[in-house]
Amino acid sequence: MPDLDSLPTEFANSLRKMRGPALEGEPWAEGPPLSERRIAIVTTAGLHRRNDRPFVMGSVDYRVVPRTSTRELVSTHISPNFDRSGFAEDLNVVLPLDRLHELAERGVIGSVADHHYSFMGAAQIEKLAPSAADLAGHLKADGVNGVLLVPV
Amino acid sequence: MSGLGHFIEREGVPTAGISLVREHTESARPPRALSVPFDFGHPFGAPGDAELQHRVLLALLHLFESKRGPVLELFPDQGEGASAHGQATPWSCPLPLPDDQRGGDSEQAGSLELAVQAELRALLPWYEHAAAERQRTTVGASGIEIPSLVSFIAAFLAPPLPDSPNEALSLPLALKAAVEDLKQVYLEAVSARPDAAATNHRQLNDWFWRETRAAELLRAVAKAAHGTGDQTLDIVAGMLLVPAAQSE
Repeated sequence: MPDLDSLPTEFANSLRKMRGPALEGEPWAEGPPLSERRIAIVTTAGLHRRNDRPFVMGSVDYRVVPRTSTRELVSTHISPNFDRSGFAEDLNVVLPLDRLHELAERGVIGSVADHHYSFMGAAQIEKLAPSAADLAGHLKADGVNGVLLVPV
Repeated sequence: MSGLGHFIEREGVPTAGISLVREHTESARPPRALSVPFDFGHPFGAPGDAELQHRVLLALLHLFESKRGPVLELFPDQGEGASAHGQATPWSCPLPLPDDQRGGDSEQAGSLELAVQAELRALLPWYEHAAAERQRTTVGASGIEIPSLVSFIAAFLAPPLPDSPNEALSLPLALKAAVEDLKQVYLEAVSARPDAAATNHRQLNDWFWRETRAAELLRAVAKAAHGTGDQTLDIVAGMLLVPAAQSE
């Protein structure tokens, strides 16, 4: 993003105040070489299928984004402060599934997960912990050993 | 985002995240992060630039090869076009928008609503073209049909307030979703025009917020719907309809 100083003053100040609380510990998980990893994407763009439940203020749960759903995706992220025209023109700007599959075909990564996941990134960090732990269980069950976290 | 990385990694699943606000990431110290210089809404750079998207993705994936963390790396370039920094050169949309009503008495809610309806009619052929070409549209989260979006939004200009047309959304959030749907119709439509091929997202958003009657309607609704006594509607109207960058 541009330097905070280049943004409108009030907006920049609100961003400076949005630093979350310090999180305990520095977790670190190991995995196999990149060429053997199964990769999933977790976005906070508030994406979901058109007929899924929309995100609302305070949502801390997630939606499942199947790899086959890319033409159905809309966003109910509540923030007005990010561009949505890029996502409309090319989903890969926020959810680079085409690029990821191309890397899998080239053998750069092992495989792409069948399911990806979406949160709405306006929640308080600490309130996301239970949903994140639940999601981690599903990721492990799917053999995922590399998660890409993508904000908007 | 950093919190999610922390919580998922804590369960034993390796994570690597894009950082859009480096100051936040430096503070949160997630396991692996790649700071990119792109605008909000563009974590992988410019639409249609597969080469840039690949480079960002590879830089992110290679963080998994780090032996220890937390690790925060900087993506080494700014990409091109849509995500380059600096002021956007103004772009004007030469669509035959209804100038005949511009400059009239904008306090007349009915007049403004009619003007936006006319804009929308002029844009619909390009919206339909864009949806067909891309085989997708991002419009529809509100559950309101496109022809009804303007009248629903304009109903907030004066009491009584309308009912929510979507049982999954409270009235304030139905307004928010309808506003985003209307804006997406405009942006999807103009971005598909051949004469907009060289525009970037800053130019498109500036065009929407500075030149269209729809933006005038949204600003009027934000003002009218603020202070109704409904706390959620106050938040939506006061903070969530008009981007901060377009309100100062």
